[in-house]
Amino acid sequence: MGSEGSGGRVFQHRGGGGIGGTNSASDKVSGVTMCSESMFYGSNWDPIVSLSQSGNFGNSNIVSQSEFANPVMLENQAMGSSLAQFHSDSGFVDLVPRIPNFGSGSSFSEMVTSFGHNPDSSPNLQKGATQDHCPNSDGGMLGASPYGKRKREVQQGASPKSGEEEQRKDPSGDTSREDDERKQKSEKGVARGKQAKDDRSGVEPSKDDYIHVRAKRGQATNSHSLAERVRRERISERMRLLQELVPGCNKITGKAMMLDEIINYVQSLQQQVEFLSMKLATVNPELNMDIDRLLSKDILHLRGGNTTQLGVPPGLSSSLPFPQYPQGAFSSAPGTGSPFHSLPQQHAWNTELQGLLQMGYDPDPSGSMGRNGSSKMEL
Amino acid sequence: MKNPNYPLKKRLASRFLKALEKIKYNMSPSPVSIEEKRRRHRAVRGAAYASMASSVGPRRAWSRALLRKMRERKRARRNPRNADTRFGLNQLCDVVPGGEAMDSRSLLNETAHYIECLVAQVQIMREILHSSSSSSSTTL
Repeated sequence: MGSEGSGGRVFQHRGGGGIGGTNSASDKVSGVTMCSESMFYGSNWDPIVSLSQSGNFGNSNIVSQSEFANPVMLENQAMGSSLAQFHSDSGFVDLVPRIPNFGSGSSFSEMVTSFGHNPDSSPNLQKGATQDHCPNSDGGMLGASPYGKRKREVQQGASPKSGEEEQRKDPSGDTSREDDERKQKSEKGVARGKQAKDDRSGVEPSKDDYIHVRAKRGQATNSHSLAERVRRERISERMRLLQELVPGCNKITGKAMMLDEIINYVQSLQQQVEFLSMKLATVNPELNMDIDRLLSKDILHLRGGNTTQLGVPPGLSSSLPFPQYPQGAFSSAPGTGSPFHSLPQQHAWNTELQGLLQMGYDPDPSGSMGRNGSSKMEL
Repeated sequence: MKNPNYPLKKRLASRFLKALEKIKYNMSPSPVSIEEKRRRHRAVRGAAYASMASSVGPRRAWSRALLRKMRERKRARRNPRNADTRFGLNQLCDVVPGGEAMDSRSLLNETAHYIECLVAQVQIMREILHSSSSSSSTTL
């Protein structure tokens, strides 16, 4: 069966280490990739494959079914099961059939991300199928959830689909960006009667490697632009990854601003290194280094989440929710016991560091300065 | 981010402390001239980046670039940029060491890892400063 063939092929690709595009760096990204292997579609449609973080979607059950006698039903069931599997919080249950062409194989895209990841986006999500929608032989399910980032294209049925499919993208992005894209693609995703065959035929010969990319409607399907788009998608994956690293960047959309934030953050970190090294240089002669003591101390423990936020404010003036951190610091300070007694001092020192660094930067909200004044640091 | 990245931090801490000790050993107890202060400052900063690069080793492009720079003391050769557009990453490649020689995607990867290491390094330095200041009650 064609479906099995394609499914098998896809699985092999996946078993082979997933998308070749993700290099070793992606290991460290927890939430980056998601599996979008929707093996629902039978005939010659090759499903979108991407790395799966959360494992297979229950697709194996689907794929093993040789005949998609009723692709819609099957898909619904699959979707239902998978949906139930992943979104117990009913985040996905909101399925709106965007694509009315049913027998023609509506495609729905499913949000597959770290499940339960974005409850915000769930209302906007149009899932391909809900359990409720199961009965629609019309295949009303397919909601083209136009948001491409986390989506998985699932095509059903042997019938040609509407050409709405998107590449799978990484889930780690922010909702705002998703919303934009979602709106964008929703227009495209609205069911048009057009068969996806043309796209498919355009796509298949060009992309025969580990990633099968669907051309979006209204976009060129030649290999160059597709490769271009794939590359751009990968780059935006990385951008999202970075967005997680840089604190306070969840609201920032757009690559340019994100890049600015990243650069600011790196520069601020480097400036902190400078600053600290200067301090260390002056303090150094008096240091009585006890390496073991230091290593066993809170270096590894208490430092976990602290300075990350701390390091940001000097560099990021506006975007960072600055006041939050020091409050947290001070709240945690008083309650600590003796092993942690260094912590309150540390926090105080940190806030003073913030204050010092901020003098060179934009004027900070007065709260920090006030706090700075109150904490009499021995520095 | 890897929260918290213990192995990396342990490596960073140990290397950096060793480097600091070496610097301290060569230092006069109280620097008198400004030039010496500057030299010390540069030494400590260099030790910070050197420990970062050597802890990470040749696994990362940015650390390789840093190591290369440390050894050769000359700029990394500017490879021609890939045909792909840089997507506005030109600034980033100036910030991340060795960034000119990478393509966009790996540059972003490198940036991510570089950020992690920087954060860890900053934490360690702060910790050292804090512990030293608290133990010796030095007023700076």
